[in-house]
Amino acid sequence: MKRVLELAGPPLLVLVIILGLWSLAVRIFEIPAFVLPGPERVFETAMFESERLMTGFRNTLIASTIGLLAATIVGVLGAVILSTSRLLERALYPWAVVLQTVPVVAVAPLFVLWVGPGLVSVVLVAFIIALFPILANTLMGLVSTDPALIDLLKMQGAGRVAIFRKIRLPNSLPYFFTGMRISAGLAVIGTIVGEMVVGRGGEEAGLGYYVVFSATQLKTDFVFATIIVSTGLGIGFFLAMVGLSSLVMGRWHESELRRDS
Amino acid sequence: MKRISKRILLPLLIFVVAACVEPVEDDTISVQTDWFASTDHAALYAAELYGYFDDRNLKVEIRQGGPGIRAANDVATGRATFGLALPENIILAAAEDVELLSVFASYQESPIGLMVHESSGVSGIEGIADLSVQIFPGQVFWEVLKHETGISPAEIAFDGSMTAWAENPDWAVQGFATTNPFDARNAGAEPRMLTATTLGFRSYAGVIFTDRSFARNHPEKMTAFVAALQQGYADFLADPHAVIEYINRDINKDFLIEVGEAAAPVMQDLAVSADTESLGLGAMNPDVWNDVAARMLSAEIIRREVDAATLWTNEYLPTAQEQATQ
Repeated sequence: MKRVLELAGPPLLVLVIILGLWSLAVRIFEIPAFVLPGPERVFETAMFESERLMTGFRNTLIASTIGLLAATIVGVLGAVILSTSRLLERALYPWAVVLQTVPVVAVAPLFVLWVGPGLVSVVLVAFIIALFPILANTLMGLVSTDPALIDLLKMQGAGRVAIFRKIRLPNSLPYFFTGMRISAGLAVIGTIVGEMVVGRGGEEAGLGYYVVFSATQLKTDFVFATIIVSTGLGIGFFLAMVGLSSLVMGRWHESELRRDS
Repeated sequence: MKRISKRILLPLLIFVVAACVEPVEDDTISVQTDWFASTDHAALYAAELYGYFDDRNLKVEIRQGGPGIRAANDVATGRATFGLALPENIILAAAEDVELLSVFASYQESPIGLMVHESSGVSGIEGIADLSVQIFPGQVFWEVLKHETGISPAEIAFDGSMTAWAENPDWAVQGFATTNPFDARNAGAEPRMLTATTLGFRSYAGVIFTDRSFARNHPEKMTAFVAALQQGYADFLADPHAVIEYINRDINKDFLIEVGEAAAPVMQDLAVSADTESLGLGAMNPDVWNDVAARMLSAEIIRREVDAATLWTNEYLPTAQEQATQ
């Protein structure tokens, strides 16, 4: 309990101070609600619109998870393939960079044509945005192994698979999780962007859809409520990655051991 | 330390002071439209082209809208003097305690609606239930109609492009009766436009509004501005070509002359009503405003009742005698 308080206490205290200042500023400067609604009003609206927010949360969570999983699988496999040959890396890596720089909002309407609107298109947007950090970081981890360690294993007669399993893979894990932490947040952002331009409404509406919905109806308080839920989801994804990283590397990697000490 | 204060603190101080100083008030009337310049803003551009603002000593700056531009927000925050929007937006703003006043309706019946494929055979709201509807999330007419009829077709966020709709015969897409059928035909589709009125929701469109305090403090400017709009709009409806050319040549090259020529006859129908016959172009009627506000409340789009009578006025329209002398 003490540990939880130590960890969660400082950010919660900052949150309380921010909410207090926000509420005070709205009252003192008499800021109209359509410009900046106070936190109380945002909370009230969140309660009123709870059904829509829950639907949006559920759908965004599903799409973000699928997008991140797809990016993880493709990113790791891509990194492993690229790490096997300098030639392959030189040939394919620039295209991964190109994929990252594609203006995904502009491309998203094409997905509607190719695969139809809704979940698949939204997941594609999330996937494209989340892929590169995982690919680039994992690749960096795989290729930056200490050559002395590899020589040591070679001297003992280890083959490529054994070297990969015993040296390269463990060495790449911290890099991989760094990429995952970045991509976790990006997957949520990508999903929300996708839902704004190629998402479906009704029961399939995600948080991005409701951002546009509420802005169209000049409901700034609902926009805020949607943004707060989206941010919460992004933080949840990030924390899940931190937890996963701790679970996998907690007993042996310096970065995790240092955090525990 | 001294260097830091010179390099950082001084510019920061200048910035803060500049931000706090009230901007020098000039006489320019700024008008924020709802979209890129087109014939939907013909009243404004015609008045500008024919010099009707200048004739009345009005310095008017028309700002084109676009995605993400919400004229009601700009007027409410003082970034623009007038704005152009739907009555629904004015009612939504009123529900948020924003006091706006509508003074001129470019369209007596809104050209907004849903466009279907001719082959679908759909001619009313009942048929829409079986289609997928591509629409900007949160459109009031659509939310009201769904609430009232109980239909819940599949909905797709509209990205502004007609391409996907053209490829899918069982889709309906949000459209503007003035310009979008032309675009659709160009994309190879055979469109059928169902305006919001056809679907069962009559409202105005292209409503020009201002902040209520501006109207209260500048009655002469209000009268002059509305008179210029009316005169410009009448000239446009009588002979649209010059204004279409002006918009294309000087304002927005992406607005094609062919699109304007296709839009003009539709506008000539939608811009007039019994009210405009008796009171002149731009006139409005309490029944329409009250009905729209009541239906928005019933559909829980607004959460509290608003007094629709306070949101619009015909008082700045020129009298019949003044119109005759224009």
